[in-house]
Amino acid sequence: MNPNQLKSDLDERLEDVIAASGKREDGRLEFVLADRADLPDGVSRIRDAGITHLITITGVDGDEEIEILYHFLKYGEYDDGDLSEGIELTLRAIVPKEDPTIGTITDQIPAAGLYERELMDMLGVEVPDHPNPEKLLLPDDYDGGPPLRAENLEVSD
Amino acid sequence: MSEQSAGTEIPVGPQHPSLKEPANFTLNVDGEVITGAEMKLSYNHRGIEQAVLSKSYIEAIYLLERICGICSHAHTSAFTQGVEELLDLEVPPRARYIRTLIGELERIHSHMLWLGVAGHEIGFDTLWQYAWRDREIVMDLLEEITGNRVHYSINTIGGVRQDLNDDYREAILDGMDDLEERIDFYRNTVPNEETVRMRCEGVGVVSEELAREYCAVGAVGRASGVPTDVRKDAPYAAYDDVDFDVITDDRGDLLARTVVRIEEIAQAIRIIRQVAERIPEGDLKASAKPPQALLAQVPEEDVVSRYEAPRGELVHYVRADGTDTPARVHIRVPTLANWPTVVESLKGSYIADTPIVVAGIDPCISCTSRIGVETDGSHGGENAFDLDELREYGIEWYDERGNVDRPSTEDDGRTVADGTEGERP
Repeated sequence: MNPNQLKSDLDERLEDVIAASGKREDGRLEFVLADRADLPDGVSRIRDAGITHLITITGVDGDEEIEILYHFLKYGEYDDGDLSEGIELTLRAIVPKEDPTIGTITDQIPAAGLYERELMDMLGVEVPDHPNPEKLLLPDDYDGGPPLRAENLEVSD
Repeated sequence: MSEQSAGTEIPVGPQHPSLKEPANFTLNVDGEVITGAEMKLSYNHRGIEQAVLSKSYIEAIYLLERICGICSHAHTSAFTQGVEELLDLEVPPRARYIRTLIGELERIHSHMLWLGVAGHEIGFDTLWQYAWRDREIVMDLLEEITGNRVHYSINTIGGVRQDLNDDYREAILDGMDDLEERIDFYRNTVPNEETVRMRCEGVGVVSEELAREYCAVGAVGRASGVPTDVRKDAPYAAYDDVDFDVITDDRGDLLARTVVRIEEIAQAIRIIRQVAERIPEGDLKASAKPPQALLAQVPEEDVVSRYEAPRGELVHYVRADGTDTPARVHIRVPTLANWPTVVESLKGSYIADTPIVVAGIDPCISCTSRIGVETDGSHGGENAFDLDELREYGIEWYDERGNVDRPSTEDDGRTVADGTEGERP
């Protein structure tokens, strides 16, 4: 399956939950969720399409909102020593700053557990149903506010 | 924490049970058998992802290089390749070959380092000394070519900073001949050596199902039969032009991880020879002009840059906002992706296996927590093991018993889902 075929397949599967989709020059596919509440549903549909490898979860502080990017990989085919190219795809969820919460996907993909904890530490996004919402990267007694929020990034010379 | 984990609790760390870096494991044990494990990584956060946002793209290369002293080239490559993608810069073939060369030399040095550490953890210090001695072949080559043993600083945006002259090529090919002899020796001896088999065979098993569930990467995934390798699955640098195999194994135990890494060194030698023999003539940089003009206004876009680091898939996400500093750099290191498999494979192992099971994924804590140093005094106490004590314990424990049957993992209700869940005790 090439990136275009995968895109049309996923466009169909995700039709009622995405606001936009596109393909980057480097072949990466991107899907933007219309409503963050549909995240678990969207992820489960991506898994139904055979894409089970979560690369990571990236949080980005935009000015008005926080973007959360779920990066997936469709494995390449393996044939005795040789591996064909895989396909990367990103599912983008937008979260408003006044209510920075997002559903968990750890129940579907256990690997997401650590990435969601990183997201909570670094961007201050809450993941209410996370099975173990402890600090991952920051010390337990850290109280300086999420390091990657714009307000904590001011550089003073 | 899983239900069956009521019992004695042993804190291990934050001085790491097997490496000189801080992490904490809380092991729940029933007699000698580990029934549950929790981990804690937050002892070494250096704030690099935050610091990089105040640096120019060129300065960022040197900061990111210092995330790790072993896979420094992996970090600079992932970052520069991402920025080149944003700028639509075409890197000349000669530069791509040189990046591949340094990348593979780095892989050999990292895998040899690991082989030595693994030997040390199981009390086989001869293997440790042998592996580290032979590793010097690559370290010397890296120093000769780049001027540095560790932080090679050869990458820049649009190409590389050092050329490879004919003397170096000769030196590399000679070095590879010597190294190949040594690797053949390890390929034949290590998997058949009694000490290695006793401590590694059937220990720390990660099934394919578990590896897929937890999205394991690199040699850990490949040793469990999950063929993932960014060099094939999204070729960068010159990997499109060279022949090599992706090594897999389906046993999933520590022995499999050892074999996969040794075989990968053999493949790396194969790649290095092809690169040294076929390296095309040409420029080292995309443009003779300094890239600062381009870098003053990097287009508003984002990129996911993946790189097969020695420990597995490394990801740099870079977002540009039209200025001369990045708006966001997110780094996912292979160790983080592989941690949950450690927690899972500790369950059902003996306490004495902890050091080698943890070392089995070739963990890099400085990469993982990246980022002031905080020592949390709440863990540990009189009953805590430190590295050396636990290692000694493991070696003595096996010495006293000789050949030990593996504990049964069939009835302990181990599931793939309970590794990182539950309340911390």
